[in-house]
Amino acid sequence: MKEKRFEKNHKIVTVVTVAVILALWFLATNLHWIDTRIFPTPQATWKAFVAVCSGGYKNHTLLQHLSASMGRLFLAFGLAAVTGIIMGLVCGWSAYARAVFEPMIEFYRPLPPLAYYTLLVLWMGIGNESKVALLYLACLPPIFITCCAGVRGISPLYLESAETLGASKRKVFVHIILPACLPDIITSLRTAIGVGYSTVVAAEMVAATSGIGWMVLDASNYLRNDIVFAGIFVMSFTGIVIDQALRLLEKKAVPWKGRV
Amino acid sequence: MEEILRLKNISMLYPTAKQEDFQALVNIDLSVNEGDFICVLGPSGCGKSTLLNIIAGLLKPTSGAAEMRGKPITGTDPHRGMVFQFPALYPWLNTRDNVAFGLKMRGVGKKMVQTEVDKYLGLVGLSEFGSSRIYELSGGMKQRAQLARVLINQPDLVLMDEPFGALDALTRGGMQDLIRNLWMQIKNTVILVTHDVDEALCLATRIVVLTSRPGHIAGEFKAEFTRRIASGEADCQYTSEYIALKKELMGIIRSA
Repeated sequence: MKEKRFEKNHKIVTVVTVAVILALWFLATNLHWIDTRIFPTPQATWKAFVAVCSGGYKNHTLLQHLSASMGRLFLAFGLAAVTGIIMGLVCGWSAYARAVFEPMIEFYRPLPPLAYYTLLVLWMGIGNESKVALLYLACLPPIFITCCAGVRGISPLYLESAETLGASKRKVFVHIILPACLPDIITSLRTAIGVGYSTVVAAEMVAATSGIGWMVLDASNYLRNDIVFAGIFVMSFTGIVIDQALRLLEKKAVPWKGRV
Repeated sequence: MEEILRLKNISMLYPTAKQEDFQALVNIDLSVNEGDFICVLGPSGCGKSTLLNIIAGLLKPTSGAAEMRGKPITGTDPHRGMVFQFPALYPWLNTRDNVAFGLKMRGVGKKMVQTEVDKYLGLVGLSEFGSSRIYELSGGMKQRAQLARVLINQPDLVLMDEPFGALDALTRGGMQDLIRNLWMQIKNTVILVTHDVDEALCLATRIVVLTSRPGHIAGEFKAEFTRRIASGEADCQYTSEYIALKKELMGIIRSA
């Protein structure tokens, strides 16, 4: 009971904080404490949002820009999830596989993705291919590393008990290793999509002709800060929605997490 | 009685950072007959668990051989069930599916699995908890579920590694009665490892005392208190024979 009440209080504090920030923004811009050419008013931001939603920005509506970005992100994320999970689990299981893949991934993992983006653009052009490749490479290491560590962290009791109960090596992999790593798999997906999302925006700012990141950069070139603001809000909300979706998935798929 | 298990001159060395290897077990010879309830009694670190893991086929001895019904043990086998100290139930499965695990792995038909699971859940008193999640079970219930998961494979030999070590005294007493009743009912062979002298005395038909540095068999005793308790004579724990044997066992463990 007590915990529930605290939870409610937390929520009230959050709402009040957001309301205060919005009120300050409204006052500071409308009373001209700061220059509205640099810092647009909330009303102007809203107007810009409605305008790019209906009229679009440079031939594309906001939805089209957003879906261009999301298309790239989810294609690359999906590919990275499938290959990363398989590679990670296999490498956690077999020291030989680990010896092959680990050095490759460890080599490029510390690099900021934009460092090798120029190369990818040179090889594949500024279209979708280079971006999908970039996002794939950005999403892969967190999935691979977390899944690999997940397998190595499985309680030996799970493996030994399965073996004594008559499970073959292959069945241990499917019936023990895969489900035992599910919490790590989902955590790794959440990390990867976070990395991928920030990379897609950055990549579009470097070289693109569509996408939400490109829209924001292009608008800033024309000092359309109202559109920049609207674009940043859209990015933020999209990011929150994606993360909440994965959290929901986690709750449904691994209800035992933190309870064993 | 027919022999089910024979350990021939088993030794186990673990490499250490020092010059000499750590001798976990030396020259272990043991013959187990069908229907025996053997308690391997010894202090922590005497190699009891190592011995059990060798019999299970999870460890290979440095020298010597373990044979089950004349065939050398080279790996794990569902005919040798292992009950671990910590239940290690799979949290992604509910209680039913945990118990069904061994049968499913061996490709037993669905209907057969259902009836067997019902039977074994009933035997350990968990019929109402089949659909419970593992984290909803108490410590004693988890251990019962593990017991059902092992027994459903109908192993000829059941190995138990301090199965009640992590339970409170009251739960432990109940579990000991359960194990004894199941053993008398199913008539399988049990090897249970424990450091609790009373547990050994009230469960075993044979007590094997293992002492450490290096782990070796320091003595073997016959006991019949378990059958007396089963036939309703719970008070035999207060008889002079019981106390005398307990004294002797304690003496061996202390002097080692």
